[in-house]
Amino acid sequence: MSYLEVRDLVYIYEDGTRALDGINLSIDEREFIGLLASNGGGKTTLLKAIVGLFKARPGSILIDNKPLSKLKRIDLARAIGLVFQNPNDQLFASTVEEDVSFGPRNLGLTDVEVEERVETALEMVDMLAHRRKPIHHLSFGQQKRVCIAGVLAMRPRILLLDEPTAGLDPKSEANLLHILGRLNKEAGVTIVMATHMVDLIPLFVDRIFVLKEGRITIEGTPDTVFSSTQVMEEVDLRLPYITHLIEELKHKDQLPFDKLPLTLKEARSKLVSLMPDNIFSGGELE
Amino acid sequence: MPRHNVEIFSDYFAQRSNVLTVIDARVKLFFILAVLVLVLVSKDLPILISVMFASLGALVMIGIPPKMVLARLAAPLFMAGMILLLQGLFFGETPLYTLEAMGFSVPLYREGIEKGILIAGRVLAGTSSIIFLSMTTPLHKILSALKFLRVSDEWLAVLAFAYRYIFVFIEEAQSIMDSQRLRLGYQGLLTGLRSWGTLVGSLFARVFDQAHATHDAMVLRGYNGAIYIERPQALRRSDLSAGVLFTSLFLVLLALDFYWR
Amino acid sequence: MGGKPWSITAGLFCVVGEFLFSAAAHILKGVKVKRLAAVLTLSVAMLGMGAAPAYAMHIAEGILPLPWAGAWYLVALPFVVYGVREMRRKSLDMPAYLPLIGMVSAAVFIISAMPIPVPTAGTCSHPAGTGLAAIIIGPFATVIATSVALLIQALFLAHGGITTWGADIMSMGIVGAFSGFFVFKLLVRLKAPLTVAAFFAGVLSDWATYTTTALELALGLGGVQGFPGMFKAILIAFIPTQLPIGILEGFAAAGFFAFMLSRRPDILVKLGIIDQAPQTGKGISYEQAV
Repeated sequence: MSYLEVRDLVYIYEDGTRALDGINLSIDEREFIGLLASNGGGKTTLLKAIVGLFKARPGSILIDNKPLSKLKRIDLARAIGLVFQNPNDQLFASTVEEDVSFGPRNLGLTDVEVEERVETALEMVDMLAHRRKPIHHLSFGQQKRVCIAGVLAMRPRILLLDEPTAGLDPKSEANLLHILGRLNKEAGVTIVMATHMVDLIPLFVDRIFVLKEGRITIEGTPDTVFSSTQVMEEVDLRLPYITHLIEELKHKDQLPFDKLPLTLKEARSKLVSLMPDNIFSGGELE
Repeated sequence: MPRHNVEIFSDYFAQRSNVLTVIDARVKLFFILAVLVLVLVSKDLPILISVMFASLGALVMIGIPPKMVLARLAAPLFMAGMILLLQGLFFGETPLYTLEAMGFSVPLYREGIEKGILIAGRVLAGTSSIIFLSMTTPLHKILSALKFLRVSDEWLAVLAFAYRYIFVFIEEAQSIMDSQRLRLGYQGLLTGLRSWGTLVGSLFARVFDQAHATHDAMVLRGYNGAIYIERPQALRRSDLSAGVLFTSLFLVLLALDFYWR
Repeated sequence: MGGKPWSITAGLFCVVGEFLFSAAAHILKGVKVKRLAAVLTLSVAMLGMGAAPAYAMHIAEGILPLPWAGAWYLVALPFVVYGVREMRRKSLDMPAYLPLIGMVSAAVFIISAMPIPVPTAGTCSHPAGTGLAAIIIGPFATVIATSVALLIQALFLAHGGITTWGADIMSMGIVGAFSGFFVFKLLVRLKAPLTVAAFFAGVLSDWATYTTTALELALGLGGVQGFPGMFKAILIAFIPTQLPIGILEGFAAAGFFAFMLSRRPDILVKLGIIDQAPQTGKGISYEQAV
């Protein structure tokens, strides 16, 4: 039985727009899930419904086989955490450690336990050195990491993230994704990441759900989801650039690819194997 | 965030670690409050001037650019100047100097000017000591010190929220205004007034949305209506010696004030 | 919209205007012309230099003598205490209340500290925003928000002061909030359009704030004997800058309602200022409203 189950979830805005139109998902523990959607695809609404900020009806959400509506707020906070897209929504305290300690304190922990959780959470996102800084002295990337620490300090079993890499420069983006990967692999946190960054997602996620107009149109491993350009264009997304290039080489230049590579590494090893030996001049192949 | 926005507040400098920032906020707060009362009571210019130079000197000593210190003093100086002139115009009988303006000749009176100089001295001394406090103490330590003084938690929470979101909203207001300017939103009286109204309107709309979003995020982390404000740590030996030093400094000033009276 | 009640509003404003004019005439009779001219010249000169108006709202540290500083603390205290109690009560039913007051306080801070260029006067000056805040969150909550904003300004910007905190809370927070709040309520009861009611609330709360500041300064500087002359002089010194800034404040309040009515009527509904949101797309446009 999966840890998080969403069944036939519907959410209709006051003006009649169906933001969620019969969503079904099931997510196992320790999975790294990518929730791909174009803007307005309903991903923020879905995330907020899962954490109980909206009452979505009809439909049901089960966490560890317990319906969301039966969970107490505090138990829900222990089970699931949501990292908002805009750090300003989440970081309200005047210093880093004050903000991160907010959640654990509300769980009624002792000062020692709170301190321990703050330290571990900040350590996990590489922000321990900045713990006494005021929020407004941090860079945008650092603020995002503190947001994650603030939620991690609650020790949720599932971490939902809304566009964690939006607005970050390439280096901070890679850094953040690396931290998330580590959290998933080493600390065993289930991660659901909503994003439209198709290029990086295949590197990290186990499964992808694609949302369009409040419905899940495709789901599966990155390989199945990114199997063709048409499918992705239908949901207003695109293939990763490298996959797109290989797809063109396959269809227009008839290069023999059996499977479309999703990452640079896969594409490179495949291309190198196809090239005549005399133009391939070096570089280790991993 | 752009650097100039961060530097708006004096406590930008209080994040550094130095001999003045490590002193417990309560010790500094009590000392500064006592000095402020002395400044208001004192009638001696030398006392006021020494308070001013001691505060500003200490700040320059810990490496705060004198330009920043003076920039903070500029506005109160201006008000002091206005007070000085007003007093000179209204009080006293002995004409000291005659202003010639717009065909009128108006005498400035000696007694008024003297009183004005005293008030101007108080403004400078008072402001300098406050700058001394704020350039060496970050807000969260002041919050803790106020918590120790049993100020209500709700009020302190509002203070903490306001402090945090000032930076967010300044940036917001600034970018709205910049984009209005780029589209010629402040050329001419009517356009300007309209843009200004829209600016304030969108700022407050942002206030509501932000309050709502922040509250949602807080609820997800178990918010139950209580904001925890940290209590200050126990006083260390260095805080006590700083306290003794400040007290003796204060007593010397007090004694001098009585002696000169 | 509107109708006959609107003309009552206009009439009311004329009465207030007339009162102000007669007050000004009275002052002119009472003060020696020479001194008056000097005060006017002085204030115009300061206006030209651009710095005085931006800081005139806040009484600087050290200006008020100890007894007056203490007296204004005592006057402001009950309002702040009642405000905190009200806040404690409301935050129990409405957990989002504390963040909201904090953020309104941040907005008041910005409006009353960031110099706004006024194209007409060619200077930087600022309104207070407390009249508008009082319409939005109520007068007592505004007193709290203002007390917080003033403390942050006094500590970290040297704008206002700790010893003059009580006096500043009195003028900006209490007088500014209550005058704006009651003018708005009155005009709305007279069925004036929201933007019009907000405009007059903004204007009058600004002028009331400045009158109070002038009163505090006059009492503090002139004492009880010197008060009448001093009060008149300071009031007149404020006129060249404060008349336009008051109007600016009115436009800010009206702009808020115009913006909200056309784009975010949902917020006004939540605040209980209007009963029902107008149909989407049929809100009052900015042009109609202002």
